[in-house]
Amino acid sequence: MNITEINIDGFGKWQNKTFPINPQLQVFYGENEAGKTTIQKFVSSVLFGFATAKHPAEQYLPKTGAGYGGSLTFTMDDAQQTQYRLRRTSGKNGGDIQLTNLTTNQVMPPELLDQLLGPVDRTLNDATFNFDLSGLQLLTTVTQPELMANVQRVGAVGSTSWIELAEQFDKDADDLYRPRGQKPALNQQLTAYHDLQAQLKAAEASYPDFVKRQHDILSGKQRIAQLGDHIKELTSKRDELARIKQLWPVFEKYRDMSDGLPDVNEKLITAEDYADFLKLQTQREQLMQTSVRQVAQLKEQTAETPHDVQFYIDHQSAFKSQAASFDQIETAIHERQYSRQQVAEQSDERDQIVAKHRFNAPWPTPLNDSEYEQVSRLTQAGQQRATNGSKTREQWLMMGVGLVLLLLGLIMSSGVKWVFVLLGIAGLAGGWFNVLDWFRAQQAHGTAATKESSISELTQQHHMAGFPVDTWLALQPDIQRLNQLTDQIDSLKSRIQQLNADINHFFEGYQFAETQLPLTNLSAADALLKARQYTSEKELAVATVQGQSQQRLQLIRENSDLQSKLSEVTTSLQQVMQRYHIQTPNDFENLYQQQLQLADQTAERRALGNQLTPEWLAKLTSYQDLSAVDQRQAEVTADLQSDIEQRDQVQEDIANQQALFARQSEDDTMPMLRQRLANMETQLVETAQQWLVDRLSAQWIDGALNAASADRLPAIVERAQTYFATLTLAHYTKIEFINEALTVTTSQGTVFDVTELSRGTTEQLYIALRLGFASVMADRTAMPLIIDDAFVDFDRHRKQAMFNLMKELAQQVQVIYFTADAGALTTFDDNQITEL
Amino acid sequence: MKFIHTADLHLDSPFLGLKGLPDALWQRIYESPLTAFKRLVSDAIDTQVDFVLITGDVYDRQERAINAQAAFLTEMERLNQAQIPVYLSYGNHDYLDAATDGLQLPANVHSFGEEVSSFKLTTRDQTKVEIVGFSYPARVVATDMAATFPDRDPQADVQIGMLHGSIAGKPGPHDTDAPFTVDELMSKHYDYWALGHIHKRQVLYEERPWIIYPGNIQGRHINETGEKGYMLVQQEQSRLVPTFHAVAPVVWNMQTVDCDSITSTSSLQQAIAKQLSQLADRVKAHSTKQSLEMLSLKLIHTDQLAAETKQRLTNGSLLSLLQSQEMARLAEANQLVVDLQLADEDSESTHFTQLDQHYWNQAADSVFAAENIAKTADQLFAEPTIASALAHSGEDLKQAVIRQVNAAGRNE
Repeated sequence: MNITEINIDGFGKWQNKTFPINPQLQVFYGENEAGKTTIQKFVSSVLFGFATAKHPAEQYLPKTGAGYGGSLTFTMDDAQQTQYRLRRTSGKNGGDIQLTNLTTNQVMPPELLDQLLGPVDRTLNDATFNFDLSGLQLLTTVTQPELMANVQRVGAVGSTSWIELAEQFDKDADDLYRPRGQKPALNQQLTAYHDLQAQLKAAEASYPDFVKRQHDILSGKQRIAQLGDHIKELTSKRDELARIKQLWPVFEKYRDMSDGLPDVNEKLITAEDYADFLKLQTQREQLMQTSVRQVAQLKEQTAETPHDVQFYIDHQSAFKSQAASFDQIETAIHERQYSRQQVAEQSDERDQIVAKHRFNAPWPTPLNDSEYEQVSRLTQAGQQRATNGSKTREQWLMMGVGLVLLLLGLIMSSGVKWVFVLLGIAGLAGGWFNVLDWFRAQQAHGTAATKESSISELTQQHHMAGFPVDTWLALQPDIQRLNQLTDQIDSLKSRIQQLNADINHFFEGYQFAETQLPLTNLSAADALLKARQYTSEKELAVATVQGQSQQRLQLIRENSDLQSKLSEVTTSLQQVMQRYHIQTPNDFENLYQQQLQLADQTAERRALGNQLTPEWLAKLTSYQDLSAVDQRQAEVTADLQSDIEQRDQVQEDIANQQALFARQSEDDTMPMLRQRLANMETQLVETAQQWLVDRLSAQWIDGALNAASADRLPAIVERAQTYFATLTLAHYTKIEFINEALTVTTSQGTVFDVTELSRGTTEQLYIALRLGFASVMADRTAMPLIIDDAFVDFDRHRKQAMFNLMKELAQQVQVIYFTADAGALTTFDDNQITEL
Repeated sequence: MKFIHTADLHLDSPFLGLKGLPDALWQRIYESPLTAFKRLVSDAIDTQVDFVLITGDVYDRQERAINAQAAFLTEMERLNQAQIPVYLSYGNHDYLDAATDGLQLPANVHSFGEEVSSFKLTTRDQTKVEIVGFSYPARVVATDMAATFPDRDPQADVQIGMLHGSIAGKPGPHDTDAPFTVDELMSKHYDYWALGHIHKRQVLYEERPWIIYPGNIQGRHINETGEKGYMLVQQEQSRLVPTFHAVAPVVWNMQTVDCDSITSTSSLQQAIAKQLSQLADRVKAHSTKQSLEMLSLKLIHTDQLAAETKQRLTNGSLLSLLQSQEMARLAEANQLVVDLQLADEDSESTHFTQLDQHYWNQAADSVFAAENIAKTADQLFAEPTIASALAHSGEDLKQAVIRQVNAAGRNE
């Protein structure tokens, strides 16, 4: 393919620009920023498509509104040297293309472009036919061995970038994993993974325990069931033995009793007879006791009546007649005492009156009423009458009161009544005297005679000598009172004498008993009191003595009854005992008790027999004695104890095992570890895969490059030889592959291994080989070789050599050279140069 | 008459392919197989099934999983209390092994021996059921065990075969396990074949007989997608009617996100968020059981995505961001993205020039050969986990390399 014209509608800085292109060698000269690279990109964009929006820098969208794209006109190397125009404008998938066959002037289908380009795509084109400055400049930074590797792999498309990529992959791989490394990610992951595996392995080690534990638990449960049965068995055996032990005394008794009970030959005492016996016996006992008590009582009551009592009894009638007067005498004593008191009081009053008027014996006597009238007339009267009148009224009142008191005294029954009676009598008497006085006075009033005779008569008669007559009336009340008192005292004294006589008479009645009841030196009141006490005391004693003797009689009667009853009872008792030919109650009782005991024993044996079933008897009989039972019981208890302990132990073990089993069951360490391990594996495999991918990527690139190079190298070397000679100004004339090692030979015939070459020479060798490769590839594709100011660093001679080489290459393939080197302007023909 | 058919409980197996998940989820996740099984047992008790069939792989014997076995024991005891018998045939993971005899199970659990044998029972409604099966004596049973199953017992009203194995001749890791053919099973004239071993639920034949893989009850990795549970089989007028009942508390799902015309990270996030909320609404609408949706998102049509976005996708930072956002509203949405990947390139090796293609191919042949992989990995393959995952993954590795090389080329 030879490009003949570039026509830009709009691309980067270029708009509506047409560049005619020399079909052999075209040089674009321009300073930096002149647009060289834009033209280069335009060519490749039209051929292989516009860059997408993802790479905006590669798109070169026009800054102004001009249409995007443009066209290339080129001639194909076919037989007809057909001319095409390829036009590319903005559109999907790299832009819309329009392909025109200029030779036939036909619009061709866009697919034809792929045919025309053949195997060349952007990659191949960029890698093989575009030489750019930066690419070669990179060479100066690489090491000699790397450069060598580049040289040796020059036979593949894009080998430089491939080699870089391969190196990057290897480096990535080393970052991920190194066989003996520690830091890289995969190494660390492996270590962690193995740690985790070890942990899991350790956790898994508990599995057999786990399974065994369940089996242990299950067999433990079986064992518990077995032990449970055994314990049940032993428990019932133990209970049986306990029962046997409990029955043993019964059994023993039963066995002993079976050895023989005495036969009972005597007549058995009937219960009724025994009851009768008991009753009679009791009666007899009681009767005898009563008799004894009665005799004792009789004995007690035969004691003498005391002397004093006997004295009293002997003189009982005398004492009794005395006692009949007790109350009378008591009244007398009281009256006497009262009377004496009255005498004393009235004597005092009389003495006072006598003393007051200096009466001499014989004392004046009162005037009677007529006398009084007489005197009164003799002197004067009036007042005196009034005085007498009022006095008379008082005397009537006194009689009323005395009558009331007397009546009251008669009604009352106590000792005080005498006081009332006496007072009443006194009142009546007093009243009566005065009333009589009054009557007398009334009489006298009428009978008063002569004054003188009467006065002397009266003076004589009334012992009024020494007292003038006119004082008589005034003296009358006191004289009357004196007279009254004298009368009263006389009456009282006579009454006292009477009473004294009565009282003395009464006490004389006790003289016969002076020794028993001495009263002589006592006052009457005290003596009476003593006599009263004595009498009642003795009366009581007499009554007692008389009662006792009655009882005694009763006792004797009763005792005789009792004795006959006793003999009756004894006879009955004897009759009962006689029935059993027994003499004494004692024997009877003994016999009865004996018979009773025997009956009890018989009953007990029967009861024992009832307690011991044949089954139990059989069991009991199987033991020699109680100690054998004890021994067996001890054995069974021990066995039971041991079984229970065993069961408890097994139960405890099971509980422990179950707890462990549960804990182990719930322990999620293992699944967690396993999951973590699985996660780790995922990561591990992923990292390992990435590492392998990196390694294999590098290997693949190397492999492909090596394969291509090995295949193409002879042809490349053949071409490169001449280029190398040109570039080295014919210093080196030969490149050879010997034993897969590259050697160069100087014009003098000296052979150098590439490793021995200077850096500059190696670069030239590399360029020669690259151009050789491009040339070889161009044989099949004939794409234009585009060189972008790639040799700027070469010295003048070498650069010249490079220019020569381009001319040489142009014989074979179209060369388009972009340069900022003004030297080019002088080297190439004008028709080959376009200045930008 | 009704019964539950389940298999492949794998109570102890860890979730595979998970890493960097928020801590808060782990408990929920690794309890999920057991939670699923507890739900199953509760359902069995609640619906008063006549019996439960477990066709193998309750747990992994080699893992010596204590808590899984203990949990299984507990659940069996629950069924025992409810007087529900269990018929258990051990599979290739929980094979019979006298040397490492496991836990003793309660009396309601009837395990098959290594020879084909049968259990008979009469259900509450007087249906005579005969169940035929066997247990794996070792990790591998390569022989056709189905051939040794007896023909239908004329005495039985319902005859069930329990078989832990895979269809003969199907390529895959399972082809050596008790291989059988559907024709072979049909020739026995049973009513129901309770299969186990394949974790994906499938009905191999519908009615007379039913031949059913119930699948596992809890998906354990990103590829065991969709709802997981058990089959409840009920007899309705002499027909057996199996229905699926989901129990898995964690559900894996795969979703594709169309990224056409999406360029920036934020618009991608929005698109994902929108799709997730739509999905959550759908899940809520048709499922009552609370389950956690674990999503793996595949992004397609990603040409336009910015390089920075793609980088955040490949280095996982976008996923972490997404997860931290989701964790905040996990309780309501119940979904979590656990994987976020670009779909494989539609056209491969675009970066390699056609001119050199045969050199690349030539090199690939030797580079991705197993020997070279092993040689390159060298000591790394001393680690069995890595070796088994990668030793024979030449093609995967090659794809990964191409993706990586292309990505590198793009960044140039």
